[in-house]
Amino acid sequence: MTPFDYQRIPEAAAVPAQLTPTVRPLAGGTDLLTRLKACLDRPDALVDLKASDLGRAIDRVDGGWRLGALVTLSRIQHHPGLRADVPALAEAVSQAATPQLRNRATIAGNLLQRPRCWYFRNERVQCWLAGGEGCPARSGRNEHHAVFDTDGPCVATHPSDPAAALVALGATVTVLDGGGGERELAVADLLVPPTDERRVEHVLAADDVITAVTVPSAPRSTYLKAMDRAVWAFALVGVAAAVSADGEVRLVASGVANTPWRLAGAEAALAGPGLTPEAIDRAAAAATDGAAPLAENGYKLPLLRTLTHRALTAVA
Amino acid sequence: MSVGGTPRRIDSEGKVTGVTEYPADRIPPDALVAKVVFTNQAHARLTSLDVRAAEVTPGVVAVFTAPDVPVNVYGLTLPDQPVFVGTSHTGRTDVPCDVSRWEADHLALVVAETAHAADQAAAAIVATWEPLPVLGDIDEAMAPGAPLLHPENGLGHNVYTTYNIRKGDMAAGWAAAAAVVEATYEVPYQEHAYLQPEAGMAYIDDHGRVTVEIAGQWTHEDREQIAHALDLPEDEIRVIYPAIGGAFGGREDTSLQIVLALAAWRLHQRGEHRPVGCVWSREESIVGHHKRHRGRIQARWGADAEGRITAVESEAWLDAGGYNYTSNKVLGNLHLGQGGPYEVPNAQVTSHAVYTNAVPGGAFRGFGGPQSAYVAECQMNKLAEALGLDPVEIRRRNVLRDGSIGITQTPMPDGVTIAQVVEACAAAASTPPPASPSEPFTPFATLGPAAGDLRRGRGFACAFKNVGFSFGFPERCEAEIVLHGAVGDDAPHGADLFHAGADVGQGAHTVFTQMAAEALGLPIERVHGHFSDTAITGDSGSASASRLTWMAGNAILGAAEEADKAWRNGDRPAVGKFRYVPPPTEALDPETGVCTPNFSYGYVAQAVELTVDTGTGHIRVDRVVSTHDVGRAINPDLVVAQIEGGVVQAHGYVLSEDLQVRDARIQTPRLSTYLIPGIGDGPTVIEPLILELADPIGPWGARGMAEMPMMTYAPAVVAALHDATGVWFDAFPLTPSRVLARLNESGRP
Amino acid sequence: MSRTHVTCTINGDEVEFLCEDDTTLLNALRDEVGLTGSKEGCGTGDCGACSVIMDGALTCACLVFAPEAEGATVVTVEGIADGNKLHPLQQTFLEGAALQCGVCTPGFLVAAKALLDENPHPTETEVRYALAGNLCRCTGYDKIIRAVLAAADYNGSEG
Repeated sequence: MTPFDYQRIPEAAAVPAQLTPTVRPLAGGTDLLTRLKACLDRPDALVDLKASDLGRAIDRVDGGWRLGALVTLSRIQHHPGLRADVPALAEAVSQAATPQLRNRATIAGNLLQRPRCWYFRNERVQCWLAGGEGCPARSGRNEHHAVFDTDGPCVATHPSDPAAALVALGATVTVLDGGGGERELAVADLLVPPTDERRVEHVLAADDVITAVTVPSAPRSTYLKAMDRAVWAFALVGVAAAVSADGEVRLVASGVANTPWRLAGAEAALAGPGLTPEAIDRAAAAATDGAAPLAENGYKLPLLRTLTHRALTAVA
Repeated sequence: MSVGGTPRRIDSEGKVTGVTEYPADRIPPDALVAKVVFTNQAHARLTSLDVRAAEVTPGVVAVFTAPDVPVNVYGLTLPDQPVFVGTSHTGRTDVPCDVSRWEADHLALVVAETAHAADQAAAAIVATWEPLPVLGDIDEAMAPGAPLLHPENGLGHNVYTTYNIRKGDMAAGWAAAAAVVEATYEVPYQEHAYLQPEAGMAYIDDHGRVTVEIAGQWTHEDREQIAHALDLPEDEIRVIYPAIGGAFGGREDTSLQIVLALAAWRLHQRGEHRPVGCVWSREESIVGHHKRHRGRIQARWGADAEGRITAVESEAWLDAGGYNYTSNKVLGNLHLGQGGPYEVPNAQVTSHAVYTNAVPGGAFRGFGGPQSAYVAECQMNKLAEALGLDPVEIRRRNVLRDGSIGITQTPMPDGVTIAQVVEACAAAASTPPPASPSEPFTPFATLGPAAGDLRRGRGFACAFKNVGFSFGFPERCEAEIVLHGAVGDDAPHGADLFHAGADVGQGAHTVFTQMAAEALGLPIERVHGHFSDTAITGDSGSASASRLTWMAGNAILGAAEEADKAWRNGDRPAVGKFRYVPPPTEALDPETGVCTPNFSYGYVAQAVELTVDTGTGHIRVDRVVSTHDVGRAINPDLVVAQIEGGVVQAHGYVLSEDLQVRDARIQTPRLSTYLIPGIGDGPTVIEPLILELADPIGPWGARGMAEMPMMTYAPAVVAALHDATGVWFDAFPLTPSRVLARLNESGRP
Repeated sequence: MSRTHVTCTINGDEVEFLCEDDTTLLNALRDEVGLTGSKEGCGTGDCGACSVIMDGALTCACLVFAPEAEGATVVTVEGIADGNKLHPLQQTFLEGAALQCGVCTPGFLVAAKALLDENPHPTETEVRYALAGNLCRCTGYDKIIRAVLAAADYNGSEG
């Protein structure tokens, strides 16, 4: 770990102006500390958002819920209203990590965590995403890597379970920038594949801070996650299915691409609002349309079809 | 009665209150901080090394490299590994020290005031390397023209140990066979993942001894290796084990012992007397110590129409990695197990250890046994299938019995009980399981499989495993008992027990105390143990090979008898010392393998029931009946603990643990990527079934048992998975990805 | 880099210490406060051997910086007994031999206490779910689960 200064700023509104590429925010820290320890991040200073008045509330709003950025995964998991009204989110957080980590991890931080690709996380390797050259996973051990959009510079998968659920639910984030401006951004637009100029999985600038997450209601929604252990493993594949207020079915997979991956082919194959067994069969079969697996992860295709089938059956 | 009872573990109060001290807890605040600098080169020649910038980094006290080590080579059973890779050394070893053969070879030891300073100095070391071809696996190491990793051994190739068995007439064996089954099996690495990463400290004690406090498995062997490298007499070295945070074979070879001793000794020479401590991170631990061997075994077995084995032809290759560690011994164990616990009239068995640039293979619970038991039991289950026989019945017709001649063509030691173990296991498995203590845990609960996706199956396997060192390796165990009382007393009022045996968590010190109390007729509270310090205890041999209860028990019985003689002679205190030596064993004949390999065995059988979700590849083990002849359960609670813990460790080996290695580099050096079983993963029901059929020469009849649960779980699970799906898995771990891929490629279900 | 002065309550005692800003709470507990019961098994939040209860929430002390604990209330394994009287969990772990090497034990005890504080009579499944952040390599977990359930029964008998 590279030494840094720990800072507190009481007013959340004053935080963004203080942030720079080397002065970074600290929230739950469950991902940031592991990156600091691996010397993946080397900030000069950390601003502890928990020492500020950044939002911690879970509020009912028109058509859904508004979660302060510092709401922990544990509070979402145990919140009766969220469990009933946005089950996909509650199921996603309760299958993420461990009790210790959920007690600490925040919903905003969860969206911004970095990939768990073991090459990216390896201090002894400098891959493209870590600022170096090339993708060692593409020709290396890639059992856990992406199966969609695999011709880009990086084949790491997005590690967040809630992200897939939030995209399926049509959630948005509120972002405060260093100039005092506030904007609303769909989670689907927040998380994008990294590019040469921006080697991270989101569009936020250095002085942006997420202040809240707004989640539309979808009582008919679920998140299914296949992992290598009963608990505490990142998704091999996860599938979020949500039926929106206007009856639209959205399907989003985790563990298959750089970002939560909208299963457009499966949605199209549903061809209408009725989740009949035949429609579910068609959608499951189409879930892997466009997939281009790597040498070791072809198993993700049947797994994705299975989970798509089960998720749709659950919300039918 | 002390033996057969379940007194509270003598270490438990400290462990539940947090006051028990493990090596990292012992390091005082004023200690210097040592950091091991790995070469980070799987295969390369060091052409220059410049540590000047490191030495002048603020806070740095010293940087030690190869020329600081008097004899720059070590190794538990074969000295083939430099303490440090360096461009120059003292010249007192034939092993070329300028080549890194493993990514975690040591380049230097930095000693500093703080961890930050040590890290900075490590980063300031400048090494230049000439890349050499990386031998990533056994195929690359055995390819024609592969560079020799240890040319100093004069063999001319990287296959550096081979054992044979040639028994009977193979042509006759094949001619008599009604069924022949043949396959190539691949067995994976396993990481020990003891919860306490390597840590230790060194200092010069009040008697001027270079003293190392560390977690290991054999104090006196650690001392010998330190003394060898430092070229000091053994009595000038002291090794102490504080509490040990798990071992499982992973601490059988040294980790920080030599470099810490070197640092304390050299600093002392320079007038710096502070202790030196080092604590490895989990990443350093996983990259920096050996693993259960990966390997390949080709096996072809024949049996007649009644299911009696007629021929076993088998050839195995173990990936030893860059250095031997205990590979040559592990290989012997694997070799002996290739024919299973059966009467084999005709056998042609060959086993090889191969140097590569991958992480060294070494000791891990079972010591080569689980690999060969997996193959032998899969072969046996395939023969049963081919002949339409029940898996238990085919074993009944083949298992070794008293008087049987083993595969090395000598009689088995008396007390062969595998037939009884197989029958007891089969009987228990045929009765309904006890009510499940809970509803099934995830993923079945959360992934909602449709009924048609779930398949159930049952599998069976059995095995034997040696207790104690094999093949002529010197075996002994010492104990000392001191009886206290007044001259006129009829009986002593208390006793001190001195024993070096390592309590790695299995409860050895509790068992030693129980056995001493029993032997002396004293209540257990009156026996005070003094353990695992070479300054006060005699050589116990290692905590390995399921040997410690067995060997220490015999040594304690002898020491008690000697102490009793002294007591009756009027000595106060009355001292009894005893060195127990078991019946001798022999090395394998190079051509035929003829030998008496072992003096005692433990026997195990397991029956597994599982459910597989064919839509996701997830396996849930619903039940395992784990049946063990332990001879005599000295402490039944601790026996059950070994079974439960061993089964779950085996569960990880078979189902989830997947050390990803590429180009001889470990890619998964964290507990977030190397997945040992969590609390939701093990079998839903573990039923330990304990038989007590005395070992004729075991203490109180006891047999060793700690490794046995590890032996048969893989083949039993694979058999159950075959029962469920019709597909054989000749490789594991059976992660959802592998299961799903294989089911899909086989067109089932 | 600056050094920060941290004041917090650990096991009921107000404690002050000075630390580097990048010191983890775990290292501060072990090195500055002298409480070595909490162990570092991984440093990445994967094993739970460093579990403490921080402001009522079960937390991996290896993933918290010590300055974040300013003003916090922290309970470690050394603080769960009532003076010389062991906590029921300590008693049942001891009686049920629910430990072997013992490195995971402090974390399990703290995690189990956090569970029983919230839910005095958990089901076995609830116990497993609550302890899912703690790894043990020795016991196979069954004895740990039985010990936690036994301590919950003990809670009941205490009324």
